[in-house]
Amino acid sequence: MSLLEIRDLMITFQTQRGLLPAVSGIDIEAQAGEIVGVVGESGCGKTVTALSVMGLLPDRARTSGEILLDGTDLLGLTPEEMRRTRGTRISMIFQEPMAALNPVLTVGRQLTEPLVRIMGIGESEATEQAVRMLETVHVSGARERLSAYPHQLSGGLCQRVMIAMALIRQPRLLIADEPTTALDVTIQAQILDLLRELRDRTGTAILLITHDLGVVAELCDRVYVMYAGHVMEQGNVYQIFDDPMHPYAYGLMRSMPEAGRANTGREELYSIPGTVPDLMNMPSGCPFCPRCAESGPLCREILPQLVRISKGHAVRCWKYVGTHRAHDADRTEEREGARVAR
Amino acid sequence: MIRYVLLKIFSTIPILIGVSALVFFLMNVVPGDPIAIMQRDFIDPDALERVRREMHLDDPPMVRYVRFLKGMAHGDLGYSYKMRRPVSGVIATAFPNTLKLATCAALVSWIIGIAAGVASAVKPGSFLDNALMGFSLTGISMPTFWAALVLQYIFGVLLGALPVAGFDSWKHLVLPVAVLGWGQSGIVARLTRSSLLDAMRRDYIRTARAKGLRERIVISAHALKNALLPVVTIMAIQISSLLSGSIVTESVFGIPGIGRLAIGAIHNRDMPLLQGTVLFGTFLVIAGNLIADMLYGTLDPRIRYVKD
Ligand SMILES: Nc1ncnc2c1ncn2[C@@H]1O[C@H](COP(=O)(O)OP(=O)(O)OP(=O)(O)O)[C@@H](O)[C@H]1O
Ligand SMILES: [Mg+2]
Repeated sequence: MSLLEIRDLMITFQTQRGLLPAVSGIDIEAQAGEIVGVVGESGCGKTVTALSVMGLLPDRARTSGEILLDGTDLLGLTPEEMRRTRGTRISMIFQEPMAALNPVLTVGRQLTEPLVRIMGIGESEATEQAVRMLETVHVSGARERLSAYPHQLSGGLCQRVMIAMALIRQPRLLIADEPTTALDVTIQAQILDLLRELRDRTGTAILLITHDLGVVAELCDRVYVMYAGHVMEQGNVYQIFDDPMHPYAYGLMRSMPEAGRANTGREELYSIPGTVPDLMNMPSGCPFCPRCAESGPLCREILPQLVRISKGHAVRCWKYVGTHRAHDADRTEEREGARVAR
Repeated sequence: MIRYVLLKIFSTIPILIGVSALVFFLMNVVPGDPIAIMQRDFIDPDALERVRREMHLDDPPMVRYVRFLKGMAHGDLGYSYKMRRPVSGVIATAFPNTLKLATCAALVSWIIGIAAGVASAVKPGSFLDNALMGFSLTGISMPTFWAALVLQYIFGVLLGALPVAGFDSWKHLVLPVAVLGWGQSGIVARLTRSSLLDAMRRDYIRTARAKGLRERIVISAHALKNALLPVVTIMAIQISSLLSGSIVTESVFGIPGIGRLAIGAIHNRDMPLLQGTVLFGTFLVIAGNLIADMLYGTLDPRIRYVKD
């Protein structure tokens, strides 16, 4: 059984303009110890998906489907049960580490807080744990940092503190929503290294949300490519990067500055023409259709199923229907396959 | 920090001088003569002229003002025409009454204001929120004298439960504290509400929830600590203005405090006393602002950092 299994998750917001389908039936899995990437353009529903796993969506969001963590459906939990799950079994870190820490509380206080307030550990023991945790995330002078306020730390340090805070109760799953987007490049690399190291050491699974394909290539084992609330393609990093099949995934790859290739500046970066559709007025067929160079009449009418290409690799595009089997038909087989592959 | 405070204290001197000048010259353009009012029945013009000379009231205003400033520099606020006692002594007798009223009103308004603000912010748009904010708005917008009269009528006249005037027992405090506290708590409640709502939208609240903290702790330990920063500032300014005397409340309820001194001084053209009460009030407001400033600095680590 997977650690995390999201099945047919739909998230709808009630807004003044009407119902907004932010996520329209996605399936995402993560095994223990796996780093799973979720990529896609701004507004495709990445953060909302993460917040639904944490049970932190605002009240006006309606959710359906299943979010299984170790077999328990998180969507079926009471708010109190969900609160107990947060921080212990799943944790989350955010995009703006500086803003994510409370400006008027010391780092030490914020680190020890869950230990003292929820687990009832004594102050001094909690402080020792906090120091050890800060050392684990390579914060130098850990003990002295405890009395610092967030504004006295750099963005990178704040993110390390956030990671320490998220992992202090050894959760099985860490959700990282754009953890490096707000940081500069060298710090980004250090934080990514740290995440990989922590995964290797503790076996915590990481759901890494980003719009940066470089980060995905660097860190992830498997990838989901999302577009307008749908998973368009999924596979392991090699399948997705070496052999992107969906026109959207393909476009994303082309729009990525390639680290390996000597970029002389002659070659202009590719960008996918057009803009993300308004979620309020979604086209009835494939949401990518208006921007797709290869779309046909069918694409405008009906959204295709995920089609299995090879083991673990699936794509939602009419181009591959018929030539390959529909994904939904052999989902169970595929899940079995994924487990055997581990 | 100490340097900052000293600097602030010194910078109040020009403000005090400015305010005193304003009061002094305004009183001079107002028609009416303290001597004439003091001795309404005593209309021998020669005698009036003599008293005027004795009190140096025939000097030009500029001369009198400079004399007044000189006295103030020595801590001497002058002599009340009406009471025939030093102004500082008159203020010192009246102040305990104002102090009692102000502290009670402030405590009531803070406790009720913060509680109401938090209750509103926790469920914005709810019935409770609307009811509390309506109550606050009423308190803020209702004229004090009118609120006082209504409460006096209901509790004093109709129910006969509370005394309507005087200042002898705790019962005498209830109505004036209710009147002052209502308006002041309205301000605190509305500010607490908006400030807390703003704090609840911040990223660090999401972080606190992501840790699995109880909502009660998320609000009290994380949101409120940030939200109360501006509220504390308002509270310090509130208490200082309450301490400088509530003219209307003290008059309506017949409380012998600073506010009533001031209004009496105006009626009697008792210049030294009026100046004394106004300067006293100015000083308190400045002190209140200074305290608010320092409190803000100690409560908000970001500000402390900048100042050191
Ligand atoms: N609280 C909310 N109320 C209404 N709509 C919302 C709310 N939060 C998100 N949405 C909508 O849901 C959609 C998905 O938002 P989401 O934040 O998940 O995007 P994202 O993929 O994380 O984008 P980004 O890369 O910009 O972070 C967007 O269209 C957004 O406008
Ligand atoms: Mg996002």
